[in-house]
Amino acid sequence: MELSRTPDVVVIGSGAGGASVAWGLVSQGAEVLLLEAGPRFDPSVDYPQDRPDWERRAFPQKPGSRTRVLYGDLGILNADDRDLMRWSKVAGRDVPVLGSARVASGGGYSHVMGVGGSTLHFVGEAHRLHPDAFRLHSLTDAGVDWPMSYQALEPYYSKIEHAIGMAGTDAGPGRAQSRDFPMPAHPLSPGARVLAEAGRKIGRPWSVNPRAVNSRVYDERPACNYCGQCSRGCPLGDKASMDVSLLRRAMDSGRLTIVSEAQVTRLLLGKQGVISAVEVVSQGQKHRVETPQVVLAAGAVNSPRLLLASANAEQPDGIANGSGQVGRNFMETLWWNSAGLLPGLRNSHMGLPADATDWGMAHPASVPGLAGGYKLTHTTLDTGLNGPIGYAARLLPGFGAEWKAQMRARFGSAVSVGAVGQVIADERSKVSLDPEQVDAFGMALPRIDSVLTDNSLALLREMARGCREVLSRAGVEIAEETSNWDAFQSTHVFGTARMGLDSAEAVVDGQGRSFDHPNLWIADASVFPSSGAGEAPSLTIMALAARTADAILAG
Amino acid sequence: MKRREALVAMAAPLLVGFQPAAAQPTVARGILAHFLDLIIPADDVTPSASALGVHTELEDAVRSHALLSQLFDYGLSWLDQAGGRSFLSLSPETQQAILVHAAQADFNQIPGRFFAVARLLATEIYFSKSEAIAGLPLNKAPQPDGYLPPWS
Ligand SMILES: Cc1cc2nc3c(=O)[nH]c(=O)nc-3n(C[C@H](O)[C@H](O)[C@H](O)COP(=O)(O)OP(=O)(O)OC[C@H]3O[C@@H](n4cnc5c(N)ncnc54)[C@H](O)[C@@H]3O)c2cc1C
Ligand code: SF4
Repeated sequence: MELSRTPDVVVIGSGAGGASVAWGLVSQGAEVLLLEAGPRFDPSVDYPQDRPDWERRAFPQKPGSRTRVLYGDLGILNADDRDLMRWSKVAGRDVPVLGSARVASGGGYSHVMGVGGSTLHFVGEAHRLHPDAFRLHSLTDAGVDWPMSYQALEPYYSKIEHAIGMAGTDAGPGRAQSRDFPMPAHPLSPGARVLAEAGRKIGRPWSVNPRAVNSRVYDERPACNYCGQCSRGCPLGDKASMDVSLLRRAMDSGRLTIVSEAQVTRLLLGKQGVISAVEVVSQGQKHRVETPQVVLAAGAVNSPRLLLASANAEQPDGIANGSGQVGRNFMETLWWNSAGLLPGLRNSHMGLPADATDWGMAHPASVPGLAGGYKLTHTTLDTGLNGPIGYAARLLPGFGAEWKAQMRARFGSAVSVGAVGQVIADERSKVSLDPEQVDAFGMALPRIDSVLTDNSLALLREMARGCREVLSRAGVEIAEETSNWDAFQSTHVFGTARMGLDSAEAVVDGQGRSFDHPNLWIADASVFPSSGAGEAPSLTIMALAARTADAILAG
Repeated sequence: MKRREALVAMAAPLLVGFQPAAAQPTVARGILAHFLDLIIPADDVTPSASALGVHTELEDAVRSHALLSQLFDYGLSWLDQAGGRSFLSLSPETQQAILVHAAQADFNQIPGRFFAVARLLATEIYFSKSEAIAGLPLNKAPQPDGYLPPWS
């Protein structure tokens, strides 16, 4: 039985961080047991892209593929900020009661539990952070600096880019590369071409977005056929979700064992602060797995949850929590999206999602007077404007014969721009344990508090301005705007077990090792001291985790 | 949140405590198919909503949730009374005028919310049928063929 052996390392969670650390370890000879709470996904059954009703199907739907999360303080909607309210030509403005609480919507913490974790859902944007993102505090006085430099992480960025397969021209301004990407860029989609042209006219250039999607056969996986559905699971396997890339490679070594539907419920403390074993529930049975090394990679919500839920008489505030920072410094995704129709444009539903980007403000000190930056991305396909239901529900109001004719005339003319921005960690934003509610295994449910600060609101306004500017220069009639101002909905979450140089301020050191427990490592988005200026996080999570694998083996 | 949960969330705040005196759900149900065909009529290219069974699927979806069901009961009752006599007996022009009114009505009142939710559900069910996408530059489903370039 897989759970009765003692491996060299137990890894908890198989998402971006867990897969990368496991791959790094087994490629250097270690035996790894990977415990994953979620199920395995079978593309032929679990991905809907070959069915006529594909657009109606949310992802993921598989039982057990989402953690139940509770929400606490998500902030208050103030009248002064109503310009940030979501609206659409179809739905109008669903004016919230001002002064009421912000709520979670659209799944709240957007994630997947499964072999491959949230990368099953991810679009596959793969970004290096700007070198200055590692010096947030030094440059802006806000947040904290990272305990490492871009240069220290660069070899790992490069290693991961070649392992998972990257297509593009370059990693973006300031992000020096020791090696080029292994694949050429994808062709720009019709919507991206419109934005590139408009950006050129306003002096804000757009470029090819680096994507972990094959533009030719690579890593024994096929080239993309541009179905436009990356966030519903890629049925061809050309998108480098962890199941088809790093985990597949790691399995080939013969040294990785993955046990799915195995939820770790507790870390058990031995002598001298060492984690001696993990408690895991698999097939209805509770097991105790002894291990010399543990890597926690359950994501920025479930990792702090497990640390807090493992509290014992010696560590009443939870494991690895000498700093008191476990669960704190939670950072959600700051996002804005503007979309509309461009008369005369055809086939904007075709191409690769998120294929073009404007890096201009993706720097932590890009907006005068504010801390943090943001990045613009072409989002027509990944926000669902690639099917008729999206058009009918969001862009084209009306009914009857005239409306049907409009649908046919205007389908394929949508253009959408999204901005993702930096959140500076705030005192009030955290993941904690609900004092009452537990899951099926008796584990306390995680509760998220996340509040938008004045800095976030001001940055959100800048992001809205950036989206509108390029769309209006392109001649797009804006028909819908959405953001996280009036609803908590977050695909990128960070910070809840942050790394740092000082054990009083951070949970792990620069290698991902717990300051309190010498054989406990954390290798997921919870270690981010800051979120970056709008860059997608997975590549950095993987690079950090590969670095952690080296540190574990170095002893 | 799944689509249907979102719709229920749309229905819920309005319906809590709402008790119109004149709701006559069973009478009004008969007009659903006709109402949906006014939203999505047949034309030269694609069939009407009812020809693709949208009314039956929509009814099933609505019936499986108490709040949605209640919204439809009230909405259809309103529709059947809005013209002074039964909706089906009104002239096409009057029926059209009632739909225009509902489409523009306050989302926080029954007619506006009912129309918005019915339209959303109906278009969602309709466009999930392959017959409905004739005339659009779409494959029956995004896979297995995808959309290979060139795109213009
Ligand atoms: C719709 C969407 C689009 C996105 N697009 C992009 C993108 O284009 N580019 C990008 O870089 N990022 C993107 N992201 C974000 C990216 O997917 C995440 O940031 C990344 O996967 C986080 O990695 P992680 O290792 O921290 O956690 P995850 O990938 O979430 O993995 C955590 C794993 O741990 C498992 N787990 C949790 N608790 C336990 C337990 N107690 N025991 C055992 N296992 C456990 C979970 O089941 C899960 O599989 C997107 C996310 C979403 C939802
Ligand atoms: S567009 Fe390409 S990468 Fe995305 S799901 Fe389709 S085939 Fe996969």
